[in-house]
Amino acid sequence: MARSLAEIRFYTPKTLEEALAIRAAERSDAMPMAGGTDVMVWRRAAPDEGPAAYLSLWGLRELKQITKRQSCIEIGATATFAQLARSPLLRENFPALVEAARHVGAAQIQNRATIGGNVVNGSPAGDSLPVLAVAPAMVVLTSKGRGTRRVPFGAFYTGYRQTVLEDDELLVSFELPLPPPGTWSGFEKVGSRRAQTISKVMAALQARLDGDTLHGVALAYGSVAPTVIRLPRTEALLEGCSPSERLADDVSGTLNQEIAPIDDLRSTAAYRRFAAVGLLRRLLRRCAAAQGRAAA
Amino acid sequence: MPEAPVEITMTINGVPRTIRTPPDRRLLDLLRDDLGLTGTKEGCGCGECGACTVLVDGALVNACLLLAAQADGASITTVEGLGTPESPSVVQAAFVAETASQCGYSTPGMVVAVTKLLEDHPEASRDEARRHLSGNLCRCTGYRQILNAVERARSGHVTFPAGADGVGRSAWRVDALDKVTGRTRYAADLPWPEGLLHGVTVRSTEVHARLVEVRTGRALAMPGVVRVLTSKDIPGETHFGNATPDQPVLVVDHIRFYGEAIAVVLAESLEAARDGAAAVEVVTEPLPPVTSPEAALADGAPLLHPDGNLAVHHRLSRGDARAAMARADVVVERTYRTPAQEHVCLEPEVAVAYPDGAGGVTVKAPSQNVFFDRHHIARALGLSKNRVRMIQTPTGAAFGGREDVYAHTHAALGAVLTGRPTRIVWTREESQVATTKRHPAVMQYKAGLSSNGKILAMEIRVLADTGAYQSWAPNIGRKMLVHATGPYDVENVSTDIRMAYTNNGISGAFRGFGATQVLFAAECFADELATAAGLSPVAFRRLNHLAIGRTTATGQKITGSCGLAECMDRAVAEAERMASLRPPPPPGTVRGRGLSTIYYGIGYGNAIPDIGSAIVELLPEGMFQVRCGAVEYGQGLLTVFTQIAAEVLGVGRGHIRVMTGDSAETPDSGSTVASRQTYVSGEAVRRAAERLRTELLEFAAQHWQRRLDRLTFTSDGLAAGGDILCSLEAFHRICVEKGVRTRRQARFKASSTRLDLETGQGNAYWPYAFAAHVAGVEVDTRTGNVRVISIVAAHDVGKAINPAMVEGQIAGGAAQGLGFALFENHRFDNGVPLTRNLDTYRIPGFTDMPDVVPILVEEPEPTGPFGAKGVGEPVLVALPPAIANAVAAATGKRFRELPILPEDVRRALCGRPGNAGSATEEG
Repeated sequence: MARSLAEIRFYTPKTLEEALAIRAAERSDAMPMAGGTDVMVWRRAAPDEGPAAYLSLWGLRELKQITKRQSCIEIGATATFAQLARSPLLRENFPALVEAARHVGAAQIQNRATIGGNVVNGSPAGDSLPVLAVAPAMVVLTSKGRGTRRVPFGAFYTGYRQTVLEDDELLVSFELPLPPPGTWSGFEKVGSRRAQTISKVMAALQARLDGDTLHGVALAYGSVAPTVIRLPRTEALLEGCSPSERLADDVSGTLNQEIAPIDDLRSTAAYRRFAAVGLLRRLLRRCAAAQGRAAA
Repeated sequence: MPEAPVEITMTINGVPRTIRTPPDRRLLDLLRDDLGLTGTKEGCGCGECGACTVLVDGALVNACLLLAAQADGASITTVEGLGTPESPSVVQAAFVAETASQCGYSTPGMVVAVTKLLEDHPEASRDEARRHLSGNLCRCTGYRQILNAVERARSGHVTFPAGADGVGRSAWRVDALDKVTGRTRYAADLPWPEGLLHGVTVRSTEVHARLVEVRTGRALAMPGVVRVLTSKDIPGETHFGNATPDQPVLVVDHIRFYGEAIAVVLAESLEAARDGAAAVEVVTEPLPPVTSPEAALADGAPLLHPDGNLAVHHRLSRGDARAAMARADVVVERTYRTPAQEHVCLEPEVAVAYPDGAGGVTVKAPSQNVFFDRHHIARALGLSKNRVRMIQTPTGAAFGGREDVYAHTHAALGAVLTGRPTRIVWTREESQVATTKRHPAVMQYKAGLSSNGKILAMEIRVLADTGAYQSWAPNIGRKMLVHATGPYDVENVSTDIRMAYTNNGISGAFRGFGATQVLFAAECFADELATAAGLSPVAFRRLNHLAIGRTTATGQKITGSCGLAECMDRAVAEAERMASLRPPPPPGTVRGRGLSTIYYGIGYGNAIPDIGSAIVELLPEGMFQVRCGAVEYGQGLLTVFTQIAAEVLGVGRGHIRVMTGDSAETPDSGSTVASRQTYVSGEAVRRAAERLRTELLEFAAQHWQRRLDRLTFTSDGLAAGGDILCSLEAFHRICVEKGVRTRRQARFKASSTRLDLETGQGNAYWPYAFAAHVAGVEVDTRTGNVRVISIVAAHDVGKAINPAMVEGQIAGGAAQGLGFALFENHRFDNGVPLTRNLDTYRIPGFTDMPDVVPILVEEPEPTGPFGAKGVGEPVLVALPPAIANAVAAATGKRFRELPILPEDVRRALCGRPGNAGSATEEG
């Protein structure tokens, strides 16, 4: 039987402490929401299956900050993609995240969609996920009873749309370690139309350029597996190499062993495999161009 | 336990307000339903279309994705806060001046987004503007004139002159000011009358089943539920249909598609109706689904209708195709396929019905023909037609999608059976699953050529999927039959069109009405034939084209107006000029241009009475009123009628009032379909205005003893030479005193003859519109992505009554054609629709559309008003084959199935090592 919308409880806490108290009391009965750009769509698609209560985090100013710390950039969970796209701190340190933020929907969506929502939603098509994977971000979770814990981004997902977030916890921020000098990062995406599009496949690359060779390579893909994934074997092959398009072709065999795309409404597995290599070519070409500029 | 309302404070359009609202109310609903700010529209409800765009604390937001409670303390600006018809903002005025609104449904959100764009990025280029505005979709305009408005508004000062109203001038639309300011009230915007009931439809979640029972007890016991309508409640005929009554108003016993309406729950609130709908129990016995026309026609297929699954079979034969084929020097055979396409009118289906207290009903709803709607409603209600009044509300586009009647009848039933006004508003998902689509078609083409490239014979076989019901299938099949050869004079033709019932939704009318599919095939085929003949696409067409004195496949001789050659020559020349100015393609891409040429029959054809009817009257207040049963749905009919009447009568637009689309007050002028209304009703308006002017001036000549040829009407009054004899109000008074009638009615009938059932021969349509499109594409050879970089569209419209509106039709039709060519595909999995909202069913956005270059060719049609023909459909029809031909020119690969997806292009190209650009490919 349908749950009447009129029966739904809606919480709008003004502080994180208040929010954590509600979360602890309601547990999984209350779905945390921020800008609502995903939650409102789910609610519409399946009004019968929605939660009994919503916990709005939108009003929590303390979760909206983007701050430079000693060794990391801290991004509040409800920072919007519009905020990320404009952030001088991110432009300087994590340009790939700025690029990803600009790929999230159109202006109307970027103004409401948050990075925390993107991550907790857990869709492998979430635009910010590959960048957080290569940073690599630390995910900061807090609960009323057990305080704060930090989970490496790579350990945050346990399966398709499954995360380690407990039902009394809220995701409050991400800590992105400040990259060493000479680090380059980029994001690329193939979608079904030129703007405002959900990805068919996307990738992020972060690496330090030492002379003309890549070091500390981190490569992540979205929409090619049940969760966003890092590609450790491909990364190892790229390590110490000079970035070029040809390099992407050289590692494409390993890359294709590490991804597991499927056929769905948006594309086919075969096309995604092919496009995955194409995205790495673009990233390595851009990286090489940046290296050329730095050398010149 | 319902949560008590929360108190929130917002500043809305500069006015602080404290509002108590349920905490889960969407900002969109609060604005529209609680505050009456109906300028903000709902198009998709899932953040894709931008029709609900508002500013929240200065940021663009989709009001459909925002809970009002989350906007506590915020400052909200809606379209109403930007300007009024009396005092429009610069952006609003620019939209008016540039003809940037058509149906107007996306316009308020668009105006808000453009306002913000110009605040933040006043210097944005057209391409940057495209990116910034990509969260706003429009299905009518093709975006070109919106971008023109952005540029116009940037100047900071906009005027739109009051003159320039006559025929041939780009007069600004008479409905534009209301549309750009959010003042226009679409059906869902109408105030809620006392006692209003809300209806929610219970739909089949099965593809094919026997309906055993509809159990309504639990729903009826729920709070707020007043009544549940099922087929048993229908007092009149249980089935309806445009061609034949094969479709149930509500399922009687046989469910034939997923999403079919089974019951309607009427309740005191929308929420209660939704809850009630979820509580209705539908008991069914599943039947095996029929999911392709091939399967439908196979031996032993489950029967969807008692007379079998072959819904339509039309044949045409001219000359002796078989014998001529045997004589041909070259024979080419190809098969083409097109998918189901959805109209995506941004205004979903909606109807509000008001009981008249005496057993009758008035229905207000979007419509393409109020008289058809009235017929269907009255039939279901078992009422005589004069007990039902159908009034068309401003309509958020149609494209053929409003030729079938759904919510209208349900709302009318509710109103008559409960005695209370009843409102039904469909969601985008309902619109997507339960309305008609363009018929998917498989088209087998075979042609025999002489050694010099003349087409000697064509054999064409089409199999189309009409889905669960016929809708207009026989008429659509006939349009396919007539247009299947393309615009060529072929002496020997054999065409066979079959349309089969399946469980894949319903197919029906959609801009192009069958010609879209066959002309896609014919014009791709023309390029393939040109290749086989060793001719260029232009030379091949020139050799075979229709022209004055040549004959169509139905044996009809083209006379009067044929601008086909001029369209082709001018489009090709302009496209070449543009290409010569373009910098070389980026590495890894290849470019190509593709041509298509089409002809298109205007009007109903086949001797179906095709009549326009209009009344023109001088009113006591000194205004001329035009009344006509045709409807405005974005194409500009109100403005066209105004311009024609102004031209004939000699007065300004301020002295013309147009009333349309009211079954009680306007004369039946047929459906607003088939690109026919400017031609048919425009001519009726011209004749009525002409008669009224002539007869009134004859009276004036006698009354004032003046020479008739000196007398005119002007905006200032009745004039003799330079002298004003009296005001129009005074003239009306005098006419009444003297017993002179101030009203004239005129009719115009388009001519066509009935096609012979065996041979398909006859004068199928009249007149024909002609067009040529040249599309330029850039194909990424690695990703297979096709980007359309140029569209030149030349249309022979006879006479452009309003050139800016014709250009708007061209750009908007091109956008729908581009979507059809490259990504639109309403998909099913075993009969279950997969593409149920705009997140999965993608329509072209700002960044997908290049600036269409329109070319107006005016070969006057002697029978049309001022020489005008029609343009509404050819604009879409011509583009898909031009794009396919351009992709073939760019890649050397021919794609015969739409849409042409990157996945398909990539697959085709990777089989060709060493293809263009391999050395410099980009990923």
